[in-house]
Amino acid sequence: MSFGNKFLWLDLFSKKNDIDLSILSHLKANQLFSTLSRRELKYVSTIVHIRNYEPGELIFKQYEKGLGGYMIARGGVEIKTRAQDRTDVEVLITTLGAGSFFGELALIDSDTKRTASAYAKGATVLIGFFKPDLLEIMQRRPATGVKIIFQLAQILGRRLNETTELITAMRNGTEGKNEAAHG
Amino acid sequence: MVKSVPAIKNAKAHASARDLARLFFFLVVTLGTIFVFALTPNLMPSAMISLLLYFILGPVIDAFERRGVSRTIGIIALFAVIGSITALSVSSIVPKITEEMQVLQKDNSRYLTNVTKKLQEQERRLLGSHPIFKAANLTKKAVSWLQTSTDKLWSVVPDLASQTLTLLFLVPFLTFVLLKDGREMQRALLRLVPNPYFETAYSLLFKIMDGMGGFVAARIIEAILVALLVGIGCGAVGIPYGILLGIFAGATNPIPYLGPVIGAVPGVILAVLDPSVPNQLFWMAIIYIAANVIDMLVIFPVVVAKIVDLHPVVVVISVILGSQLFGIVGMILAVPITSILKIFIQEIHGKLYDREHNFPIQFK
Repeated sequence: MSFGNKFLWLDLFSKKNDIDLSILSHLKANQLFSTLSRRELKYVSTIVHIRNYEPGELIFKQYEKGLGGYMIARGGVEIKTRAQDRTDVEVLITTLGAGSFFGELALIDSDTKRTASAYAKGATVLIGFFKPDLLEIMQRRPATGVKIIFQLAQILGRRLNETTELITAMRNGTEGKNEAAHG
Repeated sequence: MVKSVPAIKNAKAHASARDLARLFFFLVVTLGTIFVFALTPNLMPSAMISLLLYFILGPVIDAFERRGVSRTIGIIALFAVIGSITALSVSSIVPKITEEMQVLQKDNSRYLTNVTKKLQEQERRLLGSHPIFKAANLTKKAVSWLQTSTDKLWSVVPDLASQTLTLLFLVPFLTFVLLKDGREMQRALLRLVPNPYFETAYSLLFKIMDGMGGFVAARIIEAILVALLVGIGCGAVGIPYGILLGIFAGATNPIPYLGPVIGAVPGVILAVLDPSVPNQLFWMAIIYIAANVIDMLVIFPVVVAKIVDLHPVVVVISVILGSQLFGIVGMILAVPITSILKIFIQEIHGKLYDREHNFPIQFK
């Protein structure tokens, strides 16, 4: 049986224990859940959603409202954005591999629109973690929820730092070019 | 390695076949559930009450879980407490209700005689001025209609009692299952939603469950408070059947606009036909008006502030439509169902709007 076929019906008919073990290890490896105890991870594994995608299948579309983020358990994801002139041509921004987490901004603000589209690269298994899931954890196990939110804040803070550095570098580059042109 | 175009096309066809299969299972599960409920009318009231209890007790079980108590133990403990309170109140209230029912049933013939007398008086007056109505035999027809209606009412009581017994067995069971595995059931249903609609379906489900939870709990607390106000008011003035009148006023309270009026009808009829205390009609009017003023000024703004905001015209139309289709139950369910439809329309509209107005973010 091919990889694609094996995971095609995974969430409908396959053996539960195998998936549980695999979810636990994927969750533990992810920064968002890295500080959770095994018991907490087991609880989170009952909350998350396993979704299977065929090669090239759309995961979410740019400019649509997002509900949460996805972890890549198997396969990969291509992140593409539409060109600024609103043509239908999409440009590949990056390719994410197993273990990556994307779309996490929607966990905090569900009114945020997706800044890029995501497509499955190869047969892909994703672990979805959405805003209602985070709210449920906060409601039922606040101590676990606080740990996740702290990690989420760290991830978002690091993204902000990276963006600030990038903008500073771009601005410095532009100013350098301007000075060279005027000098 | 770059995948060839036919391979991707093949995979996409595979994905759409899987989405179709999922959609099929989703429809089978939802339509099957509706079919089962439609075929077994006895199951419907139990399911509705269990759903109501799920919305009310869910937050309590969550609070137990926050303190480290497992869900199952929390539910059992809560059931034990509710069971004891119900048993205590039933043992003290039920004899009173039964007594009131028996007195009411016994007094039934006296009320009919009173009504007949009053109607005959009115008919005499009417015939004095308009003798043309003599052939119509108005009083006789009205009294025979009243007699058959009240007889019908009392014949319903044993049916109600047997249905209550079914409820007593089914409601705790269904409520337990919903409280224990309700969220897991929602997740299982979501697993059947095809990938392209997954986030929209989840968002819809979350908004509906969240909105309904607050709405149902607020409406029930409001109804209980109104029932208590009417019951205590009647007790304070010395009007009989206070508990029955309070329960009726509370039960009809969730009907928008008309509820308070319908709730007052039995009390007013009783005060007109068989006053037990001086100025009973006046006191009944004061009790109902006071209960509704307190409801409108205090209970509604504080307790039911969470209600999904619907335009009054929409509420009126939905209540009329509900009454036309499903009677009193339709009137009670009109507002929550309209709220669900509103969430649906908003979500679908939002999705279509996002697709059509997908302007890129401009940095300046």
